[in-house]
Amino acid sequence: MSLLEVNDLAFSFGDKLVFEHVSFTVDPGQVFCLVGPNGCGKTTLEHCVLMHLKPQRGDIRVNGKSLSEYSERELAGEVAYVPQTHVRSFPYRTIDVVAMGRARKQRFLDARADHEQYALEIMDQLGIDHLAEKEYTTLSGGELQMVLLARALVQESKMLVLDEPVAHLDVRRTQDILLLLAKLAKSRGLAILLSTHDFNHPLMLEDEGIDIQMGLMEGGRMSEIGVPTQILSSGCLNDIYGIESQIVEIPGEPVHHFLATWSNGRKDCVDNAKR
Amino acid sequence: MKPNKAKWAAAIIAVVAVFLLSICVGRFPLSPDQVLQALLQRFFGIDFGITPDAIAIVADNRFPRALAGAVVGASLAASGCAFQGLFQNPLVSQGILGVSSGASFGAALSILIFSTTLFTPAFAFVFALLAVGLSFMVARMCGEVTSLMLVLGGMIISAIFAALLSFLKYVADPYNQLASIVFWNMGSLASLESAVLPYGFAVMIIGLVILLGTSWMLNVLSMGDREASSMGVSVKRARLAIVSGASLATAGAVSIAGTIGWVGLVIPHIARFIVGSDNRTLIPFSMLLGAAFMMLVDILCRTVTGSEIPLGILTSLIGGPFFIYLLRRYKGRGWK
Amino acid sequence: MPSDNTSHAINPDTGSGHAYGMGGTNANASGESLFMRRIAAIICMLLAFSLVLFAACSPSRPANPRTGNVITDCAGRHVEVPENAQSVACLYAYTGHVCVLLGCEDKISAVVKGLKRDHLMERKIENIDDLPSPYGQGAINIEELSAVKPDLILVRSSVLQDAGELEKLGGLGIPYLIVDYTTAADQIYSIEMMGSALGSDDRAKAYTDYYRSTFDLVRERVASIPASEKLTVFHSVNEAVRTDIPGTLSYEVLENAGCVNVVSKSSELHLDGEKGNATVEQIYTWDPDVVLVNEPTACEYIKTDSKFSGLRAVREGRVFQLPVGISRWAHPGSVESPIATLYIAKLLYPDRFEDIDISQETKDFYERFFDISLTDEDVESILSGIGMREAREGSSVS
Repeated sequence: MSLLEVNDLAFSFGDKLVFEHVSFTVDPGQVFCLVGPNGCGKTTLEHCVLMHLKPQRGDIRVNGKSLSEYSERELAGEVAYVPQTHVRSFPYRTIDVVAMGRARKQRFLDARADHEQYALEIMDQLGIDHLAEKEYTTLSGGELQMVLLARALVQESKMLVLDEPVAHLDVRRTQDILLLLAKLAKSRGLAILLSTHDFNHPLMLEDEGIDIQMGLMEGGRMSEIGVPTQILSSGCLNDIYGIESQIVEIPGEPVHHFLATWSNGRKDCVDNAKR
Repeated sequence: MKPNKAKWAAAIIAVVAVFLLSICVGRFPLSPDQVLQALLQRFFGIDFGITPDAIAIVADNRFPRALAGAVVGASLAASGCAFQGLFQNPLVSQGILGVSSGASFGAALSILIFSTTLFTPAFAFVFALLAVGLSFMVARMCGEVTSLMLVLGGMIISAIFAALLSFLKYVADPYNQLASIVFWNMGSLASLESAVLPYGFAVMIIGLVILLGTSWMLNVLSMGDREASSMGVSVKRARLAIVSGASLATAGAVSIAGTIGWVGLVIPHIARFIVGSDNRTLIPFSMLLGAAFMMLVDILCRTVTGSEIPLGILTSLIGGPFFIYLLRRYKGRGWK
Repeated sequence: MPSDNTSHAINPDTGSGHAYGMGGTNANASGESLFMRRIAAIICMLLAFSLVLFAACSPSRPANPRTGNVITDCAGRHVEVPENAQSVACLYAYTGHVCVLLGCEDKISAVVKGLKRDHLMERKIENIDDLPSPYGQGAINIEELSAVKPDLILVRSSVLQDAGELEKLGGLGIPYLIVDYTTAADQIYSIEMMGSALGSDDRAKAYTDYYRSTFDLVRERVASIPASEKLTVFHSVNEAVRTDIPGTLSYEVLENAGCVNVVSKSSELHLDGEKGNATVEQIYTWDPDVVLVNEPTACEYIKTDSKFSGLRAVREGRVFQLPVGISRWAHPGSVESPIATLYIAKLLYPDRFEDIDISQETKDFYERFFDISLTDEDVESILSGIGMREAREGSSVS
């Protein structure tokens, strides 16, 4: 059984339709990558899955149970969320922020218990344990992203929903995070729903040899679902962005795909991608 | 971890020391021995030959007054903390959100209706809740709730309730009711009524337990509504619980001691400078500081002259300049 | 109307209350809080200074308040009054009581709200509830007042300190008299002065004669009590811990009755305008033999609240509610000072006043000076201090 089943979903803000007829599934250990141009509804779709927004039509099931039957606490046991932007208000210790992921296990007058110990283990696994005692308002953007990811993992849920997790990161950090996600899917059997506007990201994940599906969102629909290399070589980018594209294999490496795109005959992405 | 333990120890010692000081000093000359003996004689029936007036001074005046000071101080500080955390706004406190004036109005109204003080905690609570709700609604009227709008909304609601209280004063019977109504906006521990104390205490303690129990939720809520709900916290219910706890604590304090300004604003900031922003430690630490501060100020109120000095005058006179000093020293640490 | 219209005023010429507070502050400055006291002393000095500034006119009191058409009022102002004033606006509760004393209740055309709740006033002036009350919260509603068209206006001295109120009154062109007092002698003058102004000199004189002779009688009888046997008294005024300020009427009424007012033992009371506030511990320290209370709720509070339970006077059952008639006996704002001093003296030293039947005295007092015939129940009600003053609807005096 799939962990997440989305069936014929439609959402609109007032009169403005964001998307309709969206259906897909995510299995444990599988990464589902939502790709599409800015404003295509990737983030909105994720917020529907997280119960932050209520779709006008359609059905979302988590573990076979309809979302409407979940309380916040129950859903937090199934799905954890890593936001794209996070507003930092108070200078908490970083370890405390990570430990907040245990909120669903916290009861009314519960002492801090073992939450902190658990948070430290996860931070150690992610290699950010040195940040533990720092005030999290002083962290860099990349460090914060790792902390938010750690917080989601501490939640011990079966699925991660990440909204543009690497949008503000440099190439190196991007690669680190994507590889980490691939590892998590593979070793922990996590289901991952991930949104991005960069076609190279799903390609990178596919290279890691994990079970990956890509959903191409465009014009209020999810027009294509499938393995990234297949979708991206089918020439459908031309229909969406009006550009030519081609998957390039890097010579000398096992399988490393990068997407090269040409617009008005200009060739640019390959050089960037190689760095 | 070590320095933290030292901070807690210092705060606890301060509370105990100020409490002891508070039952040992006063206009009535009693040595610390006599104070101890008076307490033992009253509560354990051991006869030290202390005179009844000395026993009444210690056991019926200083002791309940110190206790009330401690709980009122703790309540005001904790609820101030909760409001600041909830609205993520360093400028708010029960005074600025209209909670205090709402509670005062409710308390005064119950005196006018029932001519007994037994219902004041309940009325104070209902109107405290109403006031904070209205402040928030006014702030939300113009779309997004910004810090500025929240403070503005609070000021409006606070002013309305203050005016309503003045109106009650106008229609109140000057011979029988006025004095007790004037008391609500003065703020004092001088006129504690033995009959109301247990209710007031009960309301404050329920409020404090709620605030302590939900302090972790405050942390989670400060991550933003969506993140909080994805971490398993029902945002609406958590907010309601925290606002209720803070309103209960404030209402209980107002119903036994009237409106005492500044404590709810200054003490949480001072505590933030010392132990940081984690509400799980900040709230209990603020409670300790608030308790010590309030008892200390009250000692001054009742010993400096033969008459009572209104508490509010001293809380502002001491709290204001001390706050400026701390701001200077810590350069606003604790807030971004 | 001031929030508590029965309070007495500090006579601006003496500023006695503040001068007193100041002296006490310096005299008692010990090490414990010298700084605070110095600050307090400076504040008191500034207050006293400002009082002197505001109270420009210093009253010189003539033997006869009237010279031709001119009355010298309680502030020493010379005011030309109409020959036969038929409409008087009483903007201070005390002046309403004195009007009744002078048999001029029919001339009252405006009152302060507080007067409407005195039962005995209602008996004298049936339509008192319908009379306009153009004074409240320290300000005169000048349009309401001029609509009444009084011949004469009676106000408190506090009006003199408010330039805005003075200007309004002056603009009206109606003569106004300041009626106020600090001491018993002042009060006697205020009654005689009003008597002169309203053409009731004889009634005024009859009362002030009784006033003086009763004070003298009581003073002489208690004079022989040795200092060691005199009872110490704490007098609660309105609120439980509010008390007398030395040098004022209520202090004098008690002193004349042979009480040692505990306030005289300590001089560190904080004076909030015209109120002297003590603290519970201060009262314990004073350890009075007797507690006299003006306000029934305060009396109940002192008797029952555990805070006061250790007080010797409470334990020995010597907390007494003072009578309430036209006004609260021995209250700083009360017109019934002579019978109050007699009552208190008999209460404390009964064996020296065995010949006085206080119930009969009370009956005679109201019959003779106020033309009120009291039933025995009325007398009982007055002496118990309960029932002669109406609380607002929806509340009980308890």
